[in-house]
Amino acid sequence: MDQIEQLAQAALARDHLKLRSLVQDLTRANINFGDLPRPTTPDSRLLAITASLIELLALRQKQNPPVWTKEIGPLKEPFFMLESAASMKRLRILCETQSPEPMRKRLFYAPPHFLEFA
Amino acid sequence: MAIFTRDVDAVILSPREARIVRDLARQVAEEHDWPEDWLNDGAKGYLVGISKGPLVFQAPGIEARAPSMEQLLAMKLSAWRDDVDISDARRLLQEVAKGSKRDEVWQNLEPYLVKGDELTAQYAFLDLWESLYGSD
Repeated sequence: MDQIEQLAQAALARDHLKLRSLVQDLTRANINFGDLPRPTTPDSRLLAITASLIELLALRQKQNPPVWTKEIGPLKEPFFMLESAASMKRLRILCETQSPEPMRKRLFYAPPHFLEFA
Repeated sequence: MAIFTRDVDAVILSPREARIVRDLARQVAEEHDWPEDWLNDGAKGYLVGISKGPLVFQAPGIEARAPSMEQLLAMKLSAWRDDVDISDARRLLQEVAKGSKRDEVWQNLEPYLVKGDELTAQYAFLDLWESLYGSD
């Protein structure tokens, strides 16, 4: 399983410790996000989170995402990236209203600083 | 050995030329085969003011202190990025809140909130307080 697929799987599993670690590895590796190939998976949810995460990380690194991410549409139902959003009402509203754009447009809801690290 | 973190967040207060400390940290990295940026000062943008927390390391010529628990909690509430931050903040709040009222605790955090994230931090604090102690 490649790093991007691991990243997407960790995000959907809400395994934030693993997600942090993978994002920091990717950021350190100075990869060109624009060159990343479209995953071959038939799983539309996995494809959507992959596209969202690549767009988000590319944006934060001031890079262009690959062209194929534009073809990936939203989920059928919203997905909250944080388990705590189920029990914390203000957090839920924060995620719904301020999720980073590459996530929100595909109905993935996260806090505004999601995956930001010093 | 299990690895729990990949770097150490630090703010260098002295000497004024942080480059000197970075050079020494690079030397340590070479000796231990660690990543060159194991001592990471990127978090300084999130540090508002300096609190004097517990001493964590002391040797001739060096003193390392942790921020106070109030400052750590304020930083977690300002960042509020994921369930890891929430879990850390919950533990910190349980320590900071011992025997105190909600508004007193909040007042002690306010000086350390990251500029621009004060409202997020306040909502985060209220959610967290309610999850631990109810809405009273």
